[in-house]
Amino acid sequence: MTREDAQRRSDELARSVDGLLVDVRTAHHGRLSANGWLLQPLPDLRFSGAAWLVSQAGRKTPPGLILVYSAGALAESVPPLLAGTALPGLVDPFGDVLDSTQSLLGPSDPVAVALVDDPEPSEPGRQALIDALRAGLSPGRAQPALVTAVELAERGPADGKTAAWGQQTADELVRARGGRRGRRACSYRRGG
Amino acid sequence: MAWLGGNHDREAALGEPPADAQAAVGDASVEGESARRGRVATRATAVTLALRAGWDASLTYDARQTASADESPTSPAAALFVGRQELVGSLVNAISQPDRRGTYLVSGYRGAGKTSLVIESARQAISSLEQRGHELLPLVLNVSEVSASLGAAGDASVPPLGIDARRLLIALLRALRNKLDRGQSAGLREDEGGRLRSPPEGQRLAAARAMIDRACDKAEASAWSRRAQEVAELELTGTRRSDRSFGVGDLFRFTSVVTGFGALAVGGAAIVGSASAIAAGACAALGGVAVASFRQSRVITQRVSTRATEQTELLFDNSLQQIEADLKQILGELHKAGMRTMFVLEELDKVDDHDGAQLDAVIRYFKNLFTQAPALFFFLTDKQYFDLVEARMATGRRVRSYAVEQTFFTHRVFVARPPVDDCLDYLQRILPDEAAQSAVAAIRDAADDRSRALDAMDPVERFLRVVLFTSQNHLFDLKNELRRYVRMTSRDSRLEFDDRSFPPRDHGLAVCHFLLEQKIKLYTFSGGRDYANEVVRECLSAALADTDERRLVTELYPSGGELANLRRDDRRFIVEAIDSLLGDLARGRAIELVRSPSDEGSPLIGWRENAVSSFSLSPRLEAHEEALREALQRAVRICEQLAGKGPLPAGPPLIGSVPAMRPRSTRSQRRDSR
Repeated sequence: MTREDAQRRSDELARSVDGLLVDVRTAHHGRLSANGWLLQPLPDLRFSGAAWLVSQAGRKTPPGLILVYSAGALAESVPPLLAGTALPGLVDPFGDVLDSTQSLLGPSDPVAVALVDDPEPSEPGRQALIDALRAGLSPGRAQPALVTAVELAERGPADGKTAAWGQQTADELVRARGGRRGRRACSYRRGG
Repeated sequence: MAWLGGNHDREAALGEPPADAQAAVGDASVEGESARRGRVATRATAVTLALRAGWDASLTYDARQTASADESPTSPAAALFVGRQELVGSLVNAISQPDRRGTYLVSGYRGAGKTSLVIESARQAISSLEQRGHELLPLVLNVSEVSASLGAAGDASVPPLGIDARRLLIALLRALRNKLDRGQSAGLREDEGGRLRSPPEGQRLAAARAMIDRACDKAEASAWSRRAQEVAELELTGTRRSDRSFGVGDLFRFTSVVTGFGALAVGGAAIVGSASAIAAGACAALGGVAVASFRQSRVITQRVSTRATEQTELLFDNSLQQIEADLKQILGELHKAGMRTMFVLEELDKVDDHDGAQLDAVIRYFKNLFTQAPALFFFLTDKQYFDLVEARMATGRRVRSYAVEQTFFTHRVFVARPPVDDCLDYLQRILPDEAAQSAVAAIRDAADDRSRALDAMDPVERFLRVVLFTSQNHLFDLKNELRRYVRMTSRDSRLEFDDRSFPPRDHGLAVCHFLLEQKIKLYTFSGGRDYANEVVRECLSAALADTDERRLVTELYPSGGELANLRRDDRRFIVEAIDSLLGDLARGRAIELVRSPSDEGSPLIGWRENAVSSFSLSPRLEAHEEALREALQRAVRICEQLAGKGPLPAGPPLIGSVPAMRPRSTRSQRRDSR
């Protein structure tokens, strides 16, 4: 197969997969919202709905709880932005975007839940995303940021029952919301 | 170490054919079926292949007229030009439209076929031009003629070839004069239909010829002036004269005569008759005499004169501007006379002008002439000048301006060396034997294979692959390679090779040819990207060029002017292609990649001993194929988890459109498996 042909087919494939993932993320987002979670998009067009600040309606949620849907270049673009917010004095390449993001993140340690598209355990992209997020969130902070990964499909029930889809993510969000002050158990409203 | 056994060995072998080979050839002539098929029952593994007559003839401008009458692909002229249909079509279209004007930069490596391309295009345009009532007038100048156009005949020194505005002008005019002096287009000959050229066209041609002669004189003179004077004078003169006068002397003479006649009358009357009648007659006689003797004394003179004078003085010079204007006028006259003029400036790459300064000066000077005159101008240069022009244009774009070359050359044509398919077309035409035909077919069939062992190739395929590899797809070099094996007989020419002229240690080059063509095919650029494809071929060929010294891998990457003409992605792809080829060579134990002593980050390439004979292909998926396979696998995983048992009820028809990435088994592998 020629180089050009392979490139063209790869591009077509990537577009198809991305289209599928957008649909899945939208559905996943809807499931979390239905469960009482509030998701506010990070104010940067590059994230294109893939990175969200998370809080829970009626509950006190520390700022800096982030939900990231892993998507290709996002793994590279999120950390620098977050790092820029965490480290005063850095050159702000995005102007007032950083200011608004910083205000959203607040002074506390951010924690992130990454939703991984590819279920392949050996897929290097997963660990790369986690490492990148951790590195991006941690500079200037006392301890490394907490980053946890959940598969987008959540693979939990293998029997095809999709009603519980989103539950594993919600569990991780609850744990993350507890942060380093203690991952206290937290109930959440089950949806759908 | 050397890839080839060397020309010396081969020529020595060919210089004196071995006795057994001669015997084999002799056998072939009487061997019936095997000779017909081009195979010779071997005593020394000799192979003989028939060659078509005129197999190595080159296209010339002289052949264009005769060739137009015979468009048959089997005609000698048609057989010598293969491929390049896209380029030819574009040029034919331009030439065959008499009103089209423009300047074409035709560039490419030497021997790539630039001249043949122009000749073939001109040949194909002739019929269309004739249908439009025009005759093609091709004028070919090589740079030697241009350079020598100002030189003295006895100059013993050989200065470097150069080109400047005056030299070019002189050369253009000389070419015009020579062409028309040869009577090819004298305006008097019959056209193709036997019809005499119409008088107005003939007169125009004659006028153009006179202008050309005058312009040539001007251009060639070191100092030239001509004074023309015209004087027109008109004078009209008319004179009428009459004189009248009356004097006193006349009165006395009158009185004396009257008295004398009176006395005579009286005397007569006394004798003859009546005195009164005599007196009256006398008086009447006196009156008549008086009138007759009256002398006018009045003078009347009338004179009318008209004079008109007009004087014009013209001075002509031989300044460049003047000659340029003359040439433009000449071309205009030729155009009106039904001549389609096309200038071809060949061998510009031979000008000692590495930075393009000379040609640059010329095109700046004549930009208006070249782009506006009713003619086509073709500038044939090598790749270096093309790179230079493209680099200047790229620089111009960066600084938001135009390089002069951007508007001067209305068309820039890059002539890449022909692809292997075109070379195979050529071989197929000149080698009619069945053995050669099947070998060519085998090479074509293996184009998509990923591996082809030497054992799978018959001797003719090996031979053809090796000559193709050695000539690097240059038709010019390919003919030269074939000439090494040509045997002339009293009846025809034949290709002949045996173990001496084509030793087995060279056969491995056939595998190198396969590998090279495979890489070129895998990394080819579509969409008419001839330049990029030429760089791919050049870089990959350079990687296979055997050298005694080790060299850095980075030396093979695109460099110099190529960088300006390649997109960033193109450069990356070409580097990938080179790395892939080197990887194959290293796995096949033809080369070793060692760390550079200077540690410049680029490994050194070192050829192993007996690289050709020991080289064997061990194909792998290319990097882009591996990447696509991984992308496919990821897509499958995602689809399965999300659309299978996952949250989405049904997945999109994602995978079905992408072909399986399993590498094709090669013909030899299939054969082995059978």
